Amino acid sequence: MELCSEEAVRLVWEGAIPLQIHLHESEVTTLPPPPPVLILGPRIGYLPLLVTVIKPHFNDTLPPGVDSVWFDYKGLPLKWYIPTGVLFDLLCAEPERPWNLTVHFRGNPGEILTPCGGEDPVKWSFINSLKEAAYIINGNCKNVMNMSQTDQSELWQSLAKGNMESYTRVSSRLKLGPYGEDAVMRMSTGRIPIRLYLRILGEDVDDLEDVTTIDSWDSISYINRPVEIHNEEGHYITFKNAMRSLLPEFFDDETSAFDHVLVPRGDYEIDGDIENAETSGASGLMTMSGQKKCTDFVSMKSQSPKKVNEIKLIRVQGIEVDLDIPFFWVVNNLKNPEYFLHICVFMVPALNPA
Amino acid sequence: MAAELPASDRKVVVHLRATGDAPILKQAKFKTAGTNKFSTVIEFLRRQLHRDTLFVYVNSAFSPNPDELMIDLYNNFGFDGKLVCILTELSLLFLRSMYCLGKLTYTIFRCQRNTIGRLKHNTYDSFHSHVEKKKNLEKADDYPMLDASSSPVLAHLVLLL
Repeated sequence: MELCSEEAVRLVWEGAIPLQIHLHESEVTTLPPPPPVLILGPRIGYLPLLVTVIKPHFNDTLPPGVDSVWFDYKGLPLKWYIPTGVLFDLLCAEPERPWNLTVHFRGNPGEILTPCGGEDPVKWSFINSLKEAAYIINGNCKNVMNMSQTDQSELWQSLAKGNMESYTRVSSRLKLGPYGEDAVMRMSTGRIPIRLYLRILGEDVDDLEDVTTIDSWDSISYINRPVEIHNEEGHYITFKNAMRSLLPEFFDDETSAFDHVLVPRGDYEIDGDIENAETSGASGLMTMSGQKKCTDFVSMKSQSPKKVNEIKLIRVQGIEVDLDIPFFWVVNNLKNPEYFLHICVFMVPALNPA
Repeated sequence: MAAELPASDRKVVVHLRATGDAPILKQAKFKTAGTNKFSTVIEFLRRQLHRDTLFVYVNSAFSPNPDELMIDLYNNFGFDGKLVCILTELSLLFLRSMYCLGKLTYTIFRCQRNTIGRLKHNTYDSFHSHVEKKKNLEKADDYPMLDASSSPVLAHLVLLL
């Protein structure tokens, strides 16, 4: 199977979340209050990049003072250095469209959120993440450090403007992928950069709509742990294998035999087509047909007496990823432009600790 | 895997090196719980040094985002049992505005990255004047390979970018 699909990458780049942005009532100085702004927020983009579009709508109503723009979702200040798509996947267990956010132009909650002074801090946060990813992949970040100023700014501009061609052109010079069976051999560390977000849902809710909203970032564990690849001839690693190596505590010891049951090369096909929900106008999510719920994997884990939580749902780029998909396919196609794969994991308390 | 201690029980040794105008710490190494976030280290340093702005880079390479756990940083970027952090008061942005990071600095970067251990701290002024001198060379599109002795500060700072 092809481990790189330009189509899938394009869908990730085109993916966007319909946002309905309200101005916080404390900053409304006019009557009637300004109507909310409807805007598409690119999944791979960052919220502060939307400010230039949002600001003119609210400009007339703002109280005097200096801007420090931040967003909240139901009272939770949103971290601007997390890509918009990841925020959405993580905070909306049941996708809400349009996503109702509140924008604030005053009073940054400094305790929770480092202030973002505009586009530049976002750019540096992106470049830093890119360097970090390069460091994990290669053991150094020479490739990124040696990038020319023009390339660096082109890389950023292409992300900010959603220009995939120009991004691909510049980023290919970084030689940070794509991964494949042979490419693993070339990587010096065999590590793939991952950012994991673990969210524990209050109780085992069957309907994700019932999930309580998050009021503090403390209820989300943020883990930055690479997947280590030990190349095994003639086999490839499934997404399940990768998740097991990231979160071994949520997989039973008895079932560790799974590690050795690697799918032989070429036997697996992703069934169905990738369809872009965007085209149907409803959402910015990419869905993959032929999805398999991870029920077997959940029921298997609840057998263990020591476990407190179990995995309910794993979401990457808005997709509930089939656990049998080759891991390299997931990384190559669903990673964010800074070469990190962002994985949102939802946990529920184990049903029946025997 | 089973033999490893759970992340919560592990401590991370952070080795700090000051550069630029950042004050040199009496104690360069300290231990922190693996479950602490990178932001706790920054906050700790801010309090210790009474500075509002402080930039902390890992391995002279990048500045992780404040939410990252120390244990993850150690596992990813630590070696010899510790995580090396570089401390500076000059931000990357400030340095860039002083002097755009062109080929010249890359050249210096390449020829000097191995000599970092021996470089001395110097004042920011000498860095600046050095930059002014070299700007003309930059325009002339003529990039000499500088040796380590000619611009200790510049080289040191460039490593952070």
